[in-house]
Amino acid sequence: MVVKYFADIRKLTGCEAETWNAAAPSLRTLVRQLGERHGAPLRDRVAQREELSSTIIVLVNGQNVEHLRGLDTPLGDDDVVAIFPMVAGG
Amino acid sequence: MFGWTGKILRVNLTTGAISKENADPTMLAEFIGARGLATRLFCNEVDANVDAFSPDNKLIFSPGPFTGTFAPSGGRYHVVTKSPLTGGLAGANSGGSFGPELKYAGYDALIVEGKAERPVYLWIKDDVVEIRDASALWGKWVPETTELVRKATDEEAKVACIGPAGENRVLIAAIMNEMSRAAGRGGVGAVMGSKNLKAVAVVGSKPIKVADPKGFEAAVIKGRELLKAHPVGGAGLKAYGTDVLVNILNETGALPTRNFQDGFFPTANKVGGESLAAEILTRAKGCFSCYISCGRATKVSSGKFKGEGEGPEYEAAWSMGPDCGIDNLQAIAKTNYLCNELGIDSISMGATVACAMDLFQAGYLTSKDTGGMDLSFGNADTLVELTRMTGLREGLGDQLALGSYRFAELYGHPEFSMTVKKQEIPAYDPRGVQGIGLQYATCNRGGCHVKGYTIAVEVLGNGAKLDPRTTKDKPYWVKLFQDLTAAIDASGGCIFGTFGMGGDEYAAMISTLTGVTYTTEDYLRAGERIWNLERQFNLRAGLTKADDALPVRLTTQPIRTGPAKGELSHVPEMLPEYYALRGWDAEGRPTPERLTQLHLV
Repeated sequence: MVVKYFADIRKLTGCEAETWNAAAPSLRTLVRQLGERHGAPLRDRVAQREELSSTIIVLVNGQNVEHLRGLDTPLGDDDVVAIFPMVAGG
Repeated sequence: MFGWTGKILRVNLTTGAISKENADPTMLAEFIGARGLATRLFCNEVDANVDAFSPDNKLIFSPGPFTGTFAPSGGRYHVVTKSPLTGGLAGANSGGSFGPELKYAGYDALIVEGKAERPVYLWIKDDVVEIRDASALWGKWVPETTELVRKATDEEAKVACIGPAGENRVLIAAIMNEMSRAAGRGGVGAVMGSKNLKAVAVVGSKPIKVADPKGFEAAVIKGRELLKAHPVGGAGLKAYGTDVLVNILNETGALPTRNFQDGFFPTANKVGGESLAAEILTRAKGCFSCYISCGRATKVSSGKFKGEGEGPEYEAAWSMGPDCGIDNLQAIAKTNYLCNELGIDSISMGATVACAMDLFQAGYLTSKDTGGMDLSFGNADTLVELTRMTGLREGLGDQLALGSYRFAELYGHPEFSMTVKKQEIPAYDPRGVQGIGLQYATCNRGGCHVKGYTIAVEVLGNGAKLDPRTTKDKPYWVKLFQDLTAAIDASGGCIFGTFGMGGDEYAAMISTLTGVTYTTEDYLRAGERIWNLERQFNLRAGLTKADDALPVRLTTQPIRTGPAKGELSHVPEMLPEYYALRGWDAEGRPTPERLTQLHLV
């Protein structure tokens, strides 16, 4: 699995992307593991009290997990997870 | 009068006559100002079938009630004219501080009519208005023009001007103010050039009266706090600018690539806001009374693309980047500087080069046609050079100056032009994001994202979280965003204010400022009124339902790679519901009943 980070999320991870070899059957598991690897600030930025943060956008293979199964979205080895802060432009 | 100045300045360049008129209070209340007021005045005075370059066409500059006040991000003005690019109504919006200065000089609108015999510029200092000779300015680029006009008038003057592109009637020419802010779309700069009007310089010193100062202050503070607390309005846009969108659109699979051949660009990160901030950003910059500061002051310090200026914004980074198969941020910045300096719409410029590259790849445009230039996708040197040539109408640039539709038509393949109503569509692939395609197809000024920015709810999760790949409820959201944006434009506000504020906040600010009470519904209804007025003009100008359509590529050729692989746009399926919501008939014509409701009969 590949996990990509964008905008100020990169300041919390120190990298733009990383290959994820640990088993993470769901986004919920991945978020917990992210916290273990990069610290509580990243974990809390992505999810609080078992809910996705309202100021974060998580895509799995290009689809917002809001339209999949949220934190229960299943993940597999070939998936691409992209984590963005809320951004905008025009 | 509160919020408004109540005065309209009229300058006839043919006769030299200068006059000031009282604005109609009912018109102001119903059309608010800026986009709304200018459109109402224009439609009252100009035949829809006028040639865009005829002296009978008019060019109206109009700030709104917010403009010049401390309403958050409320410093904008609108330019309305008949577009030489689309053949319909052009409405171009810009920030900076030109709009507030025009307001301080005492005007809700400046109507320019006729055509000067030789190049001129306008010098407005409160009540004193002069038409001055601009022969020495003709041919000058935007920065030098701005500096020379300031020297000749007042160092504090705010200057809106055209560059060589406007003088040369490049159909995608912009009007530039404070050098780097653009009223960019629809070829408004070409109309200004056709009138031999090089610049408008303004200094104003009059106050703007507020109907309910305490109420307005409270409404503004509330709006400002909402903006500050919002992750986007408060900090996100300042940190990374609008170009931060490159990566999220690419990861969504909806970053148009190589003239919409695809929706995914593997090296997009190299031209995104994160890279821009790390490599060329010198500081964030805001317009008048703006807390957001999305503007980018940038510098390329060395190398062949060396330069300094502002941008690129997301749209320009896309059109000059992935749309041309280019991932060289320095070349993109240089091209953007050239657009600012020559006075060209940066969206249409990049997209027109992308179209030419597509024709070149297909073999419909050959080296013989290009004078030996290599127009292969990815060629950054070619992008920079073609932009310069377009502004100056040199060589192939003389044809590119027509915009992509007419260019592709010259080579027998207009279907290669990614346009709606002959104006280039922007940086969101409507095959991967369904609602924005309906916005492109129905926008009164042709291919445009900003007048109905459903990306906010389809991709960015701002206000609602809709699935971008479905059509469900999209006509409702497109209409809502179109109406709200029309009202905000008419008020002199920036739509980025909606990254924090909503209709309730806008209605409260406009009511306490002007003393005319608008409920949120009234405010949206004013926006709907403006939208329908624009539509009526376009129908009179000869546009039809057939013009509410995307390029055929987007409804027949699926995205090839990336997360949205296989997707197509479904605009034709959404159009009937959109017309019905608008109260229009099956041919897209406003019904008498709806026009009566909107006081447009």
